[in-house]
Amino acid sequence: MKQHIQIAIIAFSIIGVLSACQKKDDTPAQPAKVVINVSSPVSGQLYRKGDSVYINASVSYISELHGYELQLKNKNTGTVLYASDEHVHSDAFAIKEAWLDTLSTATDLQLEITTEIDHEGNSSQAEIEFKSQP
Amino acid sequence: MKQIICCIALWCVAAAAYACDVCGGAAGGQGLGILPMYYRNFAGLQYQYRSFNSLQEQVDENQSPRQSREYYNTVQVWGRVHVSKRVQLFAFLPYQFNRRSVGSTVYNYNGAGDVSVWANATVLKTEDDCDCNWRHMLVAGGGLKAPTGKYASHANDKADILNIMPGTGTWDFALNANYTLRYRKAGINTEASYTLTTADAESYKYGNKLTAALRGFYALQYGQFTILPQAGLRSDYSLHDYDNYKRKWLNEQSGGYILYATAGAQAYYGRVGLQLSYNKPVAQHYGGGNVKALQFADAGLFFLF
Repeated sequence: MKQHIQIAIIAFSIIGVLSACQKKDDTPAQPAKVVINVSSPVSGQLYRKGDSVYINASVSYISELHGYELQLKNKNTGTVLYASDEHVHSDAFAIKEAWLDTLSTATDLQLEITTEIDHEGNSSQAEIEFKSQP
Repeated sequence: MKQIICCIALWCVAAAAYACDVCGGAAGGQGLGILPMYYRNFAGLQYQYRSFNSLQEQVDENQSPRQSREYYNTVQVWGRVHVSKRVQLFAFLPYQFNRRSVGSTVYNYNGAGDVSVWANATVLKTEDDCDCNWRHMLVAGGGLKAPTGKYASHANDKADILNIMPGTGTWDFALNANYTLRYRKAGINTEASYTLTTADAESYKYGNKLTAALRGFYALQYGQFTILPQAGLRSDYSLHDYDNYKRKWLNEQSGGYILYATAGAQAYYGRVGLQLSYNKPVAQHYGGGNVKALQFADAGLFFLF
């Protein structure tokens, strides 16, 4: 019986050790260290009705990012013309999307890319302004 | 008596198919169930069904989470062979039919699952020739799961699809201890099984898993026909996954526990056995509370040789 108790204690000890606290990257959130390079559209670029606006960007950070949100808005009214979001668990990723310009009036446009650093609300944002002219 | 023992053995080993090699999001652990004095080889075919409700948080936490439902269907060929008087080998070859529905959109992920091999050794056992009312058995062993299943790269996100793919892309190791105590035709079985996971090629690592169960059973015999009703509790506990194990990116929205109340029965006649079981979650906190286990049932047919 003593041997059985010893076996049980050893077994539970092994399980306890294996289930112990998990190591994790404790890098504090540093929004200033998120690098968002938007290669398209270029600031001030002019698009015509029927053009495809290619949205290309690269994002990098010192630790894990959790995703991004993208919004293309009418700068003056705030109306969202295109939006998307994606969960991405990486320290570097690319954004490749496109929007078809169907606007029939001259519009100032604003592209906002927000990257989520964690699930506690820490984020970093980049903005690009450009124009649509029918 | 032999039939009862056989029946118990079959039913117990059937629990091995509770193995869930895919649902990291389902706290799927591995166990071997009751392992009394079994003495024959067998081959079997088993079907297992599991379903879950998931809330997938949006990138923007201020937005309402997306709801999805996951269905895991496994058809598994499996069997056991004795390599010595005290050691038995088990092999499991699963095929998965997994489905996720998000609103009206349905995604199907079908394919071969990961192959597992287990070895169990009898540590303690009441002698077969003992004319005892009380009998017991302690079995311990381990297993290996190979990354043979269908598996896709998730380098460009798609962490969502990891838990629904047929394969895991990882080598996993399991340890198991299993004790059965019987008084005549009634008995209890308790077990603990721990699965040590490793990281996949892209450094994603599912959390290690602990499965524990306690079941009671009773053997009813009618001539050559034996029925073995059983009921008990089963718990699956999983540590957090790592999005990147090398860099210790712990995914704290994964892992958790699910406690099931289980009930089932096995019918056995001659060399053929049939097993059914149903598991109802009675307490759970999984995936940060975003994953809810719904149904868990399985059925199996076995042939002794």
